[in-house]
Amino acid sequence: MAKKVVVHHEALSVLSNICSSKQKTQGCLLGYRNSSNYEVVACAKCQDGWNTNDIKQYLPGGIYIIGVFYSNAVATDTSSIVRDLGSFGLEKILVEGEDLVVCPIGIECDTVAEENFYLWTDGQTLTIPTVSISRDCSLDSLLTIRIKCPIPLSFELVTKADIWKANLQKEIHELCNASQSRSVLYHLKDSDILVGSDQLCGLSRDSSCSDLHSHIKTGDGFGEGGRKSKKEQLSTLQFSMYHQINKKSSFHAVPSCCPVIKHSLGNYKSVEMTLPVDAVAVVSRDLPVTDLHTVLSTAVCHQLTAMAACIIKDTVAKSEKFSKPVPYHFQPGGLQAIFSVVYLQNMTEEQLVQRRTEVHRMLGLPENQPLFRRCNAVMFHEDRSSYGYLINPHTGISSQGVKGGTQYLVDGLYSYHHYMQDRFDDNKWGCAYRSLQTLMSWFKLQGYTEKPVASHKEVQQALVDVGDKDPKFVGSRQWIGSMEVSYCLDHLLGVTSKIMFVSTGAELTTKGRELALHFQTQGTPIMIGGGVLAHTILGVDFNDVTGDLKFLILDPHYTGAEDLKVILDKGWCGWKGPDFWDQHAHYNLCMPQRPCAATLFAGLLGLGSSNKD
Amino acid sequence: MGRTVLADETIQDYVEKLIKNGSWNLGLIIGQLTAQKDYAVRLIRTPEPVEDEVSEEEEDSDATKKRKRSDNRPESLCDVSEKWAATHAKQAIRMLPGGIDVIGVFALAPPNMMQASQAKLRQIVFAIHKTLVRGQLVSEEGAITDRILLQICSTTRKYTCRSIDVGDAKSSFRPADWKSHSGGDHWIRLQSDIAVDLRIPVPVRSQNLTFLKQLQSGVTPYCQRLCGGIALFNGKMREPTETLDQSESKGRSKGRDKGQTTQQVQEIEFCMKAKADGITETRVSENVAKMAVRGCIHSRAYVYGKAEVRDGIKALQTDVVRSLMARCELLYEDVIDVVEEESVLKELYNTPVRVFGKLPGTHLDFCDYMFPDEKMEEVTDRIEELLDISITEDKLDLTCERMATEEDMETTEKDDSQVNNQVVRESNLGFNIGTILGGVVAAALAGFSYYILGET
Repeated sequence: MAKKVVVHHEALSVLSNICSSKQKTQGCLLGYRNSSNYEVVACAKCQDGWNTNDIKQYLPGGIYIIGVFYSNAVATDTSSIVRDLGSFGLEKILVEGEDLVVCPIGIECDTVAEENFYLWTDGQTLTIPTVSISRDCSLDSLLTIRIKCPIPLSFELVTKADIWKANLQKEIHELCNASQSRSVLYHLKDSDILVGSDQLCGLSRDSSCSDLHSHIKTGDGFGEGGRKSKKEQLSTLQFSMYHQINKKSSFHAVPSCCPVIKHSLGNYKSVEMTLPVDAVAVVSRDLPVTDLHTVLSTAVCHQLTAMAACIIKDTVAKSEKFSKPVPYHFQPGGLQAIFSVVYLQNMTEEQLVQRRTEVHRMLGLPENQPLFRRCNAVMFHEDRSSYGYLINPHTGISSQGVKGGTQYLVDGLYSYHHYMQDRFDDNKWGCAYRSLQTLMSWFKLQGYTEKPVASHKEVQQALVDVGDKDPKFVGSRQWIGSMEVSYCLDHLLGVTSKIMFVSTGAELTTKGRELALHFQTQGTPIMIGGGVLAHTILGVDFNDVTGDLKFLILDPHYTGAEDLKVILDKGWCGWKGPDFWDQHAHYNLCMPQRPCAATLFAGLLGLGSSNKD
Repeated sequence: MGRTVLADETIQDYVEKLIKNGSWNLGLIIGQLTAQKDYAVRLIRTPEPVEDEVSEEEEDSDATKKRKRSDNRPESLCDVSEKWAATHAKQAIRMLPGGIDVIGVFALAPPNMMQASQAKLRQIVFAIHKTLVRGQLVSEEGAITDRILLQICSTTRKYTCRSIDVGDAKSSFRPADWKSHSGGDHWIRLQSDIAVDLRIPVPVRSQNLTFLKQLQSGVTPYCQRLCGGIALFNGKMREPTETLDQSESKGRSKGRDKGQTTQQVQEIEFCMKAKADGITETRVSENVAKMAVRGCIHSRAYVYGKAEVRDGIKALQTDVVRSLMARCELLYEDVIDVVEEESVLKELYNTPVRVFGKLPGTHLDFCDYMFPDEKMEEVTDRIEELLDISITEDKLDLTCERMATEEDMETTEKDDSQVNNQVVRESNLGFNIGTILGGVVAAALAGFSYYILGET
């Protein structure tokens, strides 16, 4: 039976954008495949000759090249499509037993839609599949796997005639072969499970990946699976790589005699480093565990290749300054896919502008938004829990906002800052500072700045620097308000803010539409100050018809520990009705504007400010 | 509560034999320390010290050596050099499988001499520990640091057993219980055949280190990886704290009565990460040589019947580490020999093969390492010298490891050369001959070189 084609909304808009640029183009469709569907989640442009190695190095395990797109004169003429496909030489892309999703983009058209998709079977037949457009968050329903395994790399350095490059590639090739061999077992952290190519320890062969969580031993002795119902998001499955060293299973063809030592004298230079391999795979829950080894080793191999490419491309060998390639994982622009990009450790974000631009262009993503800076990297479950501050606590809220309303929420990640954190007692006076910190964290986590979130003292100093306060203000316990927050954002990060003024709390009920628009277009958290209190607004739930409105509030007055359950149960983060506001006090809202300058790529916010220290 | 040492019943016979042969004796207690009980499987008397310089220079006739030996025997227990005892322990431990250790010292003497030697015995116990710890490539965390001192009065045949914590320089002896028993059948053997494949660059800064140190710089991280790795039993991971022998509960009563249970052998497969934990810097290294170690080794260990899975794994890991280290050291001593004789450095080295033999009256093995150019007699002589065990050639198991053939040597030569055909051969030497020769002198002065001892 023919498989269905599911195209994700975000992927479709990228294709439409490419289409509307009216340039001749071609590339690969990326996505998942399972027994019933081909799921297109992204696309990547590629050069003539359909060399897909450049694309593959960005792909985590479980995401495949499942199709092609290309521009042609008429998008609907099947015979011409068949002719085109025949001339492309797609043998490299075709996978045995799988169809290829084909998406011809009409030069004359402005958008791409369901009817642009075809299936190309056995490299000869073109059929029209059932196509549906999806807005689901596929990533949430997939299992995320992370394989962390530092691998030592050593290669001979001969700078003359770039021989070192060949040496490096040979070495990487060998590491790839080793990681795919049957002697490698992938071990699931805190479990007795080992996954090999033809052996499986601690698990029956007919298991699927969804069974893995139940084998993880947690501190209290229960498998994670037992509490699955409570947890919204399953933790990442963390694997590490082990080599079997037994005589019969070892990968290397070692002589079976007792060890022979070869001692070769002679001067030579070598590069010694440890590759911090940290590969990701996304797999469906029903993937048989017997297929897992291939997914994991492919992910490791792609990353090793990417690392080699990165070293070769960005190293000035003559200087003999080598730097470690470090992988980062991104989920850019709402795509339901993860891409891994490798950067040399010693390169600054400025030096990487060109590199990032390439990735933006390859994936057809807008260039006026930071998406592949190091700080844009995905925060996986385990990264969040070790971050120190709670990330996006509101995602754990189960209660409803407004009946029949639409939720307009903060876009992306922020961290929750509140009283008494950082071993600093600001109880009763620091709420606005904390709200400002949450705002700043958003800019940091979205990759607009590399500056750390400012401390109270730094905030006070900034206000002195801009001339708003006297020098004695630094170190004091004086309150600040919405205006000060906006000055600080401007001075410290170069972010401008809109100030909304309401003369009474009651008046806030009329601001639903305006606030909704803010979250739609800017997506930044809002600081609101009135009376003696400051809060952070993370979103609104607004019913267009009735005008009913609720506010998603993050309260900086919390003094307890970073305990999500307490914070949600006690309403320190939660939906509040209009009565939450002091009906007679007046309020100022500081609404930061998302930077959207074309020059954004050249630098980070805050780095070019006049502040020299 | 003090320690309880269960002593194999054969020990008593050995003591009787020693009493017949001389007025006093010093030696090692071989066995296993566990959290519950300690097991002493054998005593090994320390051989007489030999003066190498003399025996090297003079004619190698047996008569000369015998004479020398008796000449060197100290008058009394209190004149024994603790260094000599420690050297014996170091050499003996190479010949023990994993899990079986030097767990203490025994002394046999008439009451007066024993009384006068108390401080000396304490020194010996500590010196042995110090020497053995220094030789460890991987530090053993949580290892038991109590050691046994068994004193036997040669006139009254009274056994006095005490223990001391060698991990604490200030500790004092505590009484311990020495009980004779027959428990030889309750040992479980663990074994593994491992393929070793190491590449070791020798950076400029290691240029002046000895060949042994250079080799160890590559072997040590390998051992750390092994000890941080995973062990599989029948392709499965096991709960570290469960009892290793799961079959015991069924046949418990029978096995105890008859003592005829067949020896249990557990095959273990080791898995290790690509890199030991810890941070490494990225750097360009200037090297003067490189080494490749390739081949297979047989590893074997014993734990007492009630041991947990983790004890078994640890014992076998200890064996791999111990065995690799022994091979390196022996090779190094062999290399010294070569340098001395030919002043030429070889490019390919054979490491010795491991051979096994049974500790008399037990199911436990000891081992030795044999170089291709050694005669069988040299091996049996060495076993007699260092373990005080007479064994004939036909009782030795030579099948566990295979000596490298010309063919093996050729493949090793080839495998590596393709990686590095750019290198100029006739440049600096990888290690300093001066250092090696210096090492020879030092060893000769100390007079305790394994090689030389083996020749006597």
